[in-house]
Amino acid sequence: MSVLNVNHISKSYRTGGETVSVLQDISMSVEQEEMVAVMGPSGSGKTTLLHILSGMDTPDEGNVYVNDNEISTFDSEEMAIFRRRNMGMIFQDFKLLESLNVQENILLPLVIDEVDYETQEQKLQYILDVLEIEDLKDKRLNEISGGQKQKAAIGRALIQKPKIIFADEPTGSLDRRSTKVVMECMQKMNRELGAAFMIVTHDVYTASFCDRVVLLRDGRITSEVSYDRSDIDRYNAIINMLRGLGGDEDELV
Amino acid sequence: MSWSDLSRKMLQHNLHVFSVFIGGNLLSVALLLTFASLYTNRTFMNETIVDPMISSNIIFSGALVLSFFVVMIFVSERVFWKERQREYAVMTVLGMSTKEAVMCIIHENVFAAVCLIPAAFVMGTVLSFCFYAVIRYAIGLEGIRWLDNGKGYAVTITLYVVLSLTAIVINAVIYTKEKLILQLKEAENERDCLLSKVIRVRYPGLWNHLLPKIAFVRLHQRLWNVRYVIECVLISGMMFLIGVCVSMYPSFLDNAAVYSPYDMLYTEINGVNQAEQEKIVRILNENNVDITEYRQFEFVRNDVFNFAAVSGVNAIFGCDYEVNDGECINLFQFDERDGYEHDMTPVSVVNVSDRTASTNAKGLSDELILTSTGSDVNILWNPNQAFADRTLIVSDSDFDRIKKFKDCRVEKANIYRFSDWRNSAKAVEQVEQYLQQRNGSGWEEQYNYRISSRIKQYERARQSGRFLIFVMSFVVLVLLLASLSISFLGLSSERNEHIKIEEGMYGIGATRECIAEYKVFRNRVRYLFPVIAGEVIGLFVVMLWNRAAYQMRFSVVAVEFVIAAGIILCVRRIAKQLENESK
Ligand SMILES: Nc1ncnc2c1ncn2[C@@H]1O[C@H](COP(=O)(O)OP(=O)(O)OP(=O)(O)O)[C@@H](O)[C@H]1O
Ligand SMILES: [Mg+2]
Repeated sequence: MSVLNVNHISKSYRTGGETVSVLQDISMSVEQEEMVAVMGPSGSGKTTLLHILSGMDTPDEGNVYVNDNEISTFDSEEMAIFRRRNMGMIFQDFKLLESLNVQENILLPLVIDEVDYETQEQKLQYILDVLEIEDLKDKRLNEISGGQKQKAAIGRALIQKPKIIFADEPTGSLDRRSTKVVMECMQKMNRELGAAFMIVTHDVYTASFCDRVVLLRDGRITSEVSYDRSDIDRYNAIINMLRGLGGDEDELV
Repeated sequence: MSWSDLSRKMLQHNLHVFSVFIGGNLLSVALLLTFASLYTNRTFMNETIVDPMISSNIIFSGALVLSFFVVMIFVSERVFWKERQREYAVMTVLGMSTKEAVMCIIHENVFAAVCLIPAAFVMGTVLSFCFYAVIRYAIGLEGIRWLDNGKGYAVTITLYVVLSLTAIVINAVIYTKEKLILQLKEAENERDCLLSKVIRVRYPGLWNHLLPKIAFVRLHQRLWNVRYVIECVLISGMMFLIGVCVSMYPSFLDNAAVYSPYDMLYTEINGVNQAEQEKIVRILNENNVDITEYRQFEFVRNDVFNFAAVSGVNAIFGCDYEVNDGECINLFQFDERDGYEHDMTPVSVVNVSDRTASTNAKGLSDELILTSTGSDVNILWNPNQAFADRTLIVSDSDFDRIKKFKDCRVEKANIYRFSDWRNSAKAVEQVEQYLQQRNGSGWEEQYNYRISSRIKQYERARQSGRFLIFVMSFVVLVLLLASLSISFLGLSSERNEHIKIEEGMYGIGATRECIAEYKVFRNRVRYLFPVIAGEVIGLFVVMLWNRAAYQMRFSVVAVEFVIAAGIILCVRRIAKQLENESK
């Protein structure tokens, strides 16, 4: 069963008198417990797609179903409640609140949902254990590294155990080692909580942690590749796929 | 963690946002309160206690303060909402509804407003006491009671509540309408302004030279432009006010002299306010005032007009008017170059009737129709409460007829010239006391028979001028501070982004000295540009106004230039100082 279903969505922007078509007739779906990477060159519409799928933006045409609910039919109140229980968001620049420390940031969705204190503690402890950030929980944001911040953001996105997580370049500002740690965290959460992930990235290494790679070019999905969870050399598999499309991988992502 | 813990933490962390909001509101509420309590002060606005010439100065400056207040409330509310949006947009992503976010911001907003009101009232009360003290002791106006009533507070709080609520509603609507992805964006997309485009295309060499310097300047160009406009308006308003003061003060004094052709004047009205001439002469002489000229002239007045006989006017004031029976001349006792607008439309036909006589139903002789044959602008005598607003010169026989009308009063004006009017203050006061004693009427009634004198007029003009300068300097200071604090707060709110640019520059090999130099450049642009632009615009407006009202006074231009230069120097210093501190 799929958590996310996208039917024929299009989106264009008007800038300076001319209309730029950013997304054209995109259809795709994400299955439960699946990790999907969306790759594509800069300006190909990845962020726009992610915004539309997560209900932060609206498509010009087409429908988005999350968990069999068409999100465009929600009003802002319903969208808020739906988002808080069913979706998680992760950003390249973390978007954590500077005014709160790590644990408070992670707890934020529960506070907004008015979850009682005991449940808060319980869920927080679980997240801290899985992400192995127990020792960071009382730190302020200016005392921790980028990778640690992204872990906190992942914790925040997952504490409500949502059905699907949208991540826009979650490793975009991290080095290789932090990328590995962060992606392993996501993978672990995916396996343990059964949350589906949709990760936008330029980075083949990041994509290699996913089960499926979708390639976006000029607002269209041009190709897809998927493999087994047991497949060990995904990195080269993706490179090979990109090469197989003609042109080198630098140009394609 | 509960919602209240969360909001407490956010409050603590965002104290600077709140302090800017509270500071701006505090200042403007206190200021408004000061002016409102003066404006609603019954003793200050009472014509018999404070001359309207003085108290009316409060109207223009009060209007300025009010508009400053309105702008300040709206701007600070906008800034507050924009700042709070950063966190609430993230919370919306995490599942807070827009409505909840708006409600939370409103809560915070109201909380801050409720906290600041008592403080603002204390500040405003202290400030209005200072005002009162200055008015009483430095300017010398007596008889004003401080905090005469609570109306000022009521007006201030009403205005504050109404304006804040309006601003809150507007901001809430904007917030609800704005898209979440736009709210999440840290900085707005900036577009090049025309100037930078021209420089880049036409003078690439200069552009490259400027590039590192303007990196800071271009970061928030649109925001800066908005701030520039506001600051420019504030500074030009300030220049205009200075121009107004510098022009008005001497013209107040000039007008006092022009409008007082005689050194002392009092009138007898229907036999009231009689005085023994020898007694007055004695009082004057006792105070070392010599009379060089004494005349008495008779006129008749009703509610609208003074009627003066043509022969009397010609004989006493040395004019050569000619008026036939049934005709009149409209006399306007104004100086056309005093800087004010005057209504000088002559009345073409005047119907003078004796209403008490007509009830007798006797003949036609109780109605007199006068046709205007022209008008003249000439100040013949001092203004006095005993005179009506308009004056008609009529023929001698018409004058005698009007004299008999029962709803007209026959008055006798006594006019004096002294050898040295500047010395006559005490003497005039004693004459006034003598008149009061002799006629024994209450003060309110006495008001109509009060003496007019050149010295009183002059002193009143001086007081009025000083009061104007005091009130205006206050407003000027507030405008200057407001403008500078917009620069300062704007810069400090962008500090983090600027640090990033600095790090970037350092990273590509700029030395610390270079970066410091860029930042000095930035500060100068930031502080000086709106100041200079505002000054130029303000000067231009002042000169236009000055030319229209006074045919251009050189002193105004000179003072304006000195002040403009002074402000520029100060601001340069401040900009440099701030840079040194932030190092
Ligand atoms: N608000 C907007 N107004 C106008 N055009 C926009 C807007 N947002 C995005 N675009 C355009 O849509 C296109 C796709 O933008 P998008 O941000 O989705 O690209 P992306 O694939 O995420 O790129 P990157 O990998 O660099 O993040 C770009 O050409 C961009 O110029
Ligand atoms: Mg993007």
